[in-house]
Amino acid sequence: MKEKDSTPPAWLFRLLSWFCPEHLLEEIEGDLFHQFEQNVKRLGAAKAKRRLAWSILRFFRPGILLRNKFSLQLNSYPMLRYHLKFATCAFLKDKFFSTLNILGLALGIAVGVILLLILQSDLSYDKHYALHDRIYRVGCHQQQTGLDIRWARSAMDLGMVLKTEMPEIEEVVRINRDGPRILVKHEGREGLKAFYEEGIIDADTTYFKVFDHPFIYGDPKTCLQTANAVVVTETIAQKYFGSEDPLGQSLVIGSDTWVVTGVIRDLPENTHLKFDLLMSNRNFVEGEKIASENFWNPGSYLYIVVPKRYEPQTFHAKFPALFDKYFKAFGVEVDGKYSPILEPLADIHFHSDLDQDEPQGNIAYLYGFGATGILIMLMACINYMNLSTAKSTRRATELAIKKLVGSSKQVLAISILVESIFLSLISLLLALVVVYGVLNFTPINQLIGKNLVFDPFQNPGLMVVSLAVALCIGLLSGLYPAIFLSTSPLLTALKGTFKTGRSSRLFRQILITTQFAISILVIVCTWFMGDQIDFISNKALGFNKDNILVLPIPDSAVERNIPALKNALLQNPRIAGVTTGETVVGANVGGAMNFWAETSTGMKQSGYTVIFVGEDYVKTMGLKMLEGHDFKAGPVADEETPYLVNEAAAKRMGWGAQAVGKAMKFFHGDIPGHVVGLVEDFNFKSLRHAVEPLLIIRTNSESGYLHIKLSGEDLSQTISDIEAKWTQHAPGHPFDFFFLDQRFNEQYNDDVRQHKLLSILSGISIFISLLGLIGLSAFAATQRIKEIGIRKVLGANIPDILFLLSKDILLLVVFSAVLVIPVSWWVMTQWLENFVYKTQLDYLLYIAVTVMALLLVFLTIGFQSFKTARANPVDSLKYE
Amino acid sequence: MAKEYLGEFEELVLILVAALQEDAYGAAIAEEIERRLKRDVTLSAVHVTLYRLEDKGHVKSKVGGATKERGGRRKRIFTVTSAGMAMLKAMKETRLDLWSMVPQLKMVVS
Repeated sequence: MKEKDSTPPAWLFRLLSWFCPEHLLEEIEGDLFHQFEQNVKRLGAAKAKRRLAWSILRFFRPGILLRNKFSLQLNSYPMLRYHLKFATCAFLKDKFFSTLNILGLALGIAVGVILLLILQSDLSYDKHYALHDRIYRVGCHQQQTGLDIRWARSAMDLGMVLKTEMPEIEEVVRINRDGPRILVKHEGREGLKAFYEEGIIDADTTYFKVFDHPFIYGDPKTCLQTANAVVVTETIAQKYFGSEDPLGQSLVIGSDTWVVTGVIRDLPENTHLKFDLLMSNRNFVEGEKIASENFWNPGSYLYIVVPKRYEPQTFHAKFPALFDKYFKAFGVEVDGKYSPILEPLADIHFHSDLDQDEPQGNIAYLYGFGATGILIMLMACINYMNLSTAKSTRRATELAIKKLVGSSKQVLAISILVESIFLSLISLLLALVVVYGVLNFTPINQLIGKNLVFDPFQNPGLMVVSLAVALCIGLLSGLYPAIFLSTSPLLTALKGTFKTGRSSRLFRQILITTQFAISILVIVCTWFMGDQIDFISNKALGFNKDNILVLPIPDSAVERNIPALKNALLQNPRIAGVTTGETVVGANVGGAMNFWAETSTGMKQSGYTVIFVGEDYVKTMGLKMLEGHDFKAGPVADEETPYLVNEAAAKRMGWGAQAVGKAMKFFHGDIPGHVVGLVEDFNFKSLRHAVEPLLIIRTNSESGYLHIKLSGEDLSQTISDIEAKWTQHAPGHPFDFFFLDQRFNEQYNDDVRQHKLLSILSGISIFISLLGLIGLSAFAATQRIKEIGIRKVLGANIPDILFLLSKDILLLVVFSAVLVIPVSWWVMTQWLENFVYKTQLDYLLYIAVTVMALLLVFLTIGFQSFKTARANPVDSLKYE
Repeated sequence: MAKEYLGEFEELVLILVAALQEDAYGAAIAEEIERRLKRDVTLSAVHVTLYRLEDKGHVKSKVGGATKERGGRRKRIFTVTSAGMAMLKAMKETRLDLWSMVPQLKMVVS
């Protein structure tokens, strides 16, 4: 056996020295050595080494570890003061590095705190309701021939019988959303006030027994009991009544008069069912005839309050009896299956996947931001680690002297940790100021569509977690420097010739690569998201959405004037067409209605999306007829309904190109009809969805929305002209319009918002990486000052030297860009699953982002090292 | 005193410290246990026990001189204190007392 083999590996002892208390270390090492030598003789070197490793690992136990702590606790307070003093000294001595460190850490923590606020708001959706964990929403899954729907709603009648059939259910409330836009008027001391309101719901009188709201005026127990009672939010009260006492005031909503019986606080942003006005609907309870067919018509949201420890399973177990009693009679006619879906209130916003629902949250974005935030905090830690290990040569002498006068390794490590935690706590303070500033003085809340409030005193949970985050960041960033610096060799450090070793340089390179990989990943994803959003906003939709002005038709009085208004408008040469539609494409088209359609095997029932339209719809919207003809001009005959279908519908029915002339019939309607034309598929919903089968049906009533196609010239003049005609034909109604293309793209608002937020985050991430590089390159330049001097003497010019200084890091950036390709590809493919229409992943993008990163890095380093590169070699070499 | 107990392993280590005299240090004790009792023992267990005994005041320790072996590391030699010795004696006597209660015949039979 060779001599070399029988010495124990040094790194194992180093491992031991990290956790073993100093005063025990020598004898333990000795004993281990002793045992090792015995084992080498008995078992051979290889086995002895394995045993040694195992023995050392076994020393990692409380009986040993706690002895560490014990000796430290003895004198912790004075030591802490001493450490803090040194931390302050180090902080003040090197202001440049300290500022870089604090800036990086503060940015990281600020991002963390804001993300915490977002998480706090998102994870507490609807949890402000006292009964939230006992409230369920009842939706339905319905199957009939050709129809399979999962809706968030249930039939009104189901809500009515539920409490008698299942007495254990404590409360039931049914809610309908009214609108989308309703004209609300109030005539008071300050004159007539009329606005369109979008947040109007009506509910059973039990509403406030289920959902508790803080009342400003009125009594939650009685406010919905009177006829025509409406409860409004404080914003609405302010808007209509100003300084008047809102109680007892009358509001004209649509065409009826309602009396305000209560004012509640504005709803928080994190509730899935938002409203401004709540009308009591007393008709829900009394005097409705129960017909089996009604049960199959899920129209309203249904919420139930269950007793404590209630299992939703009980509901499902009892449901078949209820089905037999109420659903079955009609069910057999349509061969229907029906099962209720119970969703806990707090899960609805992020986890419900039902149709006919309120706007949904996207939990994937939440995860995405959480991940990005954590990565950014990690980058801030990396900066700290990099800077403090890089400048360790400067600190080495200080640490060596401390060691010389008797500091143990542990005390040194702790002093370095105290320093990093000290810095991270200062950064926390700065970060809190930044958060406060960002939330109060920048439009971030509009940007992310939230209402975040930063109030440390109202939100102790947040403060505790922020403090914990700051401590973790401090600990994490200090840990490696602490281990690395406290074990640096004493003598070389004292002589001032201490150089950072190869392993620490490698570690630093890994950290830099990680940092840039993260930045490039975030940037690539942001950029790509932008591409996709551009793509869907500009994609040809199959109809012409530009320059269409849409005006809601408020009530039947105005409806009667529409033909006259149309004629008046068409006089204007800049108006190319006028039509009406019951629903607006891209805004509120959706939901399935049942129709019978002729197929090769007889009439078949299935669900279609339907748009009811007035005259000239096809022409005004620029739809393309493939076959047949547009609706005939003039009123429709009562005994025959004409239909236009899209390609998707023709395909589903197996009609192919022979759609024209096929028979159609409404759900239970007796009026027969025929298909008169086939239109090309167009996207009447967002591009997240494929084009579904669509029916366009001509009606005689000109209700819903007036669509006015403008030529696009002289827009403001045309609009004021339209306004003049509107006030003439619809007096007393506000002229409140929107443009179709804008409204269509509002469907992507959520994506646009996320994209903006991500852009900010990617900016921060690259900023933090560059911040780290500024420090590193400034340091590297001073370290290599003599080398540069010699090179210059030998004839190197400034660009050569700049390149020399930045070469290593530029290589790392390229390397990290390569690393990022598969990750970003995976992330983006996942995200694109949200859309039916996708752009192609553009590989040029990687190159562009990488080149951009390289350029930024080169500029940063170049800027920092320019001074060194330009310096006169005489100055840097004369002391040698 | 009466309320203090020694665990089985503690007692073993304490006896060995008494027995080995000037040679009572971690590795030697572990070796003795392995050799005489044929019992696998990790070094860390012995060390932890020794420190605990020291905390309780049954042993005291001093650092010995450096040797060429052991990679130049010094040993920590443990010696039993009089309290430790009293404890050991008391334990032995209790054992004997208890043994005397066991009927002699059975011992012969077995």
